[in-house]
Amino acid sequence: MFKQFWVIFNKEVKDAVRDRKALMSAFFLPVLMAVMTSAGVLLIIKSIDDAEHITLPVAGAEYAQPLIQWLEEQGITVTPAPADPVAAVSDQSLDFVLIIPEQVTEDLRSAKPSTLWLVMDTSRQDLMSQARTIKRHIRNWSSQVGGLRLLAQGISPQVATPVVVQDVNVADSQKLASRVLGGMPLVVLMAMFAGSIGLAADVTAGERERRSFEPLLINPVPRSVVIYGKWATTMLFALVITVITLALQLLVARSLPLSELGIRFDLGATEILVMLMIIVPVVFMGSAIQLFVAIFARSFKDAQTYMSLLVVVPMIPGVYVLMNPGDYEMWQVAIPLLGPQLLLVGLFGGELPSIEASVVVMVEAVILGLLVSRLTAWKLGRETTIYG
Amino acid sequence: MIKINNLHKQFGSLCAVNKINLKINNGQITGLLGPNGAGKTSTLRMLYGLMKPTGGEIWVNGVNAVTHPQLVQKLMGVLPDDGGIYERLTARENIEYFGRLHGLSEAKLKTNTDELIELLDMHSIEHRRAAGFSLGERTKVALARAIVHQPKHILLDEPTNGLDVMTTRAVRQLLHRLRAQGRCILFTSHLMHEVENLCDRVVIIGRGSIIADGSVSEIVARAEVNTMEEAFVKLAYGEATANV
Repeated sequence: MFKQFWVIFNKEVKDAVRDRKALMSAFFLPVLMAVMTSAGVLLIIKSIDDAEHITLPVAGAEYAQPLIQWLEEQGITVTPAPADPVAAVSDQSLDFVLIIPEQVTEDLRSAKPSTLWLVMDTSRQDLMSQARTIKRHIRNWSSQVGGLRLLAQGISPQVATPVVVQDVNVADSQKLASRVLGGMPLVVLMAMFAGSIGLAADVTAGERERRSFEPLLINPVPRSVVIYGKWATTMLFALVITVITLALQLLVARSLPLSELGIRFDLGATEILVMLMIIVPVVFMGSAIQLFVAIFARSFKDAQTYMSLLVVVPMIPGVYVLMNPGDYEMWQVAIPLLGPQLLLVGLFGGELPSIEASVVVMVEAVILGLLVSRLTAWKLGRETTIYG
Repeated sequence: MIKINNLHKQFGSLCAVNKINLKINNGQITGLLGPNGAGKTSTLRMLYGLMKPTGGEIWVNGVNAVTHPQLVQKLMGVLPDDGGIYERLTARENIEYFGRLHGLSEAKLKTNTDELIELLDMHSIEHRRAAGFSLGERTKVALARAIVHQPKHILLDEPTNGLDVMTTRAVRQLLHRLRAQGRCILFTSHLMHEVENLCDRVVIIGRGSIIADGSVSEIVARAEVNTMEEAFVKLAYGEATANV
């Protein structure tokens, strides 16, 4: 029995390795995914940089030097404004223009209320947070100046500010970036499902299409041994692709300037080892499911179609994980594919899962994998599969 | 020796094999003839255990093929109709794969494979991948891998279909050799001259039942015609068509 398993496994591995085109496309996938994650993280970093850095053209900067100085201290780059600010903003060649009338110098000196003009286009939603920032800085400067005036009159400035509202921004950049990291386990699981599709289709539906299943099954080999041999091959490839994907994702996470976003990313050998301990059983189960789906297909192409739908399956719990970051309950861990992703997201954040949760995830995947493979062997033994 | 008792196979309302009784002897080449859809392939599939009979028994060397298909498969070498070979493996690797699945030792595997490559004149394709093989080359590989474990019983479904003269001769010589070794050989064919040349015994089936059983000369004599082809047409399709 074991000898036959070994013969089939060896033959399938040799067969698969010789299928250069399929092999190349399978191994291209992890690289592609690494490029996609880095691009995603870099885009987020860039968009945050852009949002934080404001350039403000000012007309009449010389009429309110202290304000300009204050704005520059707040990190805003002040540039000269064109002759027609309104036209420049309305044709979108500039985002904003601050107009300081000549009158302001005189008004400031004599402590009279004065008016500044911020030219902007409120239909451009993406600029509104920058506009708010500019206005906040001007308001802050204004209340500082006002406070000084009150002090000069012998009145405490606190009298003029009965209430202060402090913003607590929850949709900050850090959360956005941590979602990218949270997406990495999903990327790894998807690579696992997508990477071995070709092989799983080839050893089942492909064999059926090329009509070599019948001669193979005429040999005195139990159906289950045939399936175990093919399963082991699929698993080996899925595992190699998954490990490469994981390694590249970790490399991406390590090499990106995540500290700029205030994210600590510092995984130790223990975390990586536990990740592998969770991933291996999931590969075990995933490959079994792939073979089971593929055995129903009559042709290689059909099998690929069925299985590309299967790639969507880990996305459902994956999206759930992304939408609900944070702690998880034990019953969530027990849901196949959701559990591993919850634990992996935790691990990417440097948090080790509990022993119970790890055992549940591993044992469950192994049991499901074995059950599904029994079903596949049963299906393979049917006349309709061989002669259908 | 293969013994078939009351073998019956039903596909829905269609009766493919209708209560056949047959004994196939060792040291003989038995030809199974019949029009398309007569039940030849279904009978073979039940013999090699991939199709369950609706009723009846099959005994191969005293082993029940219906209840112990895998034990029977060990005793058999089968060339199924239209069986694919592995295109990314070489001719030799294709043959060795099946030999190993039968549990041959590496030494024995090498001897047997070498011998078959010699007999079927496959030296030129031995180390080539099968992707570009001609029909004849594929059939040779499929035949060699079917009998690499030197089975006592050999079932061949249209082994010379589409082969050129040289390949057909090679296959014919191989079959003679296997017969001389006392093996039990059953094959199906549509080629009457093939049957005349090779078979010690001919069994004609039509609509799932045995119509005639005997040596070529016996069958020709029984049909009261001059050639095997005429006899086959007369017996399998009836009087009316035979005279056309």
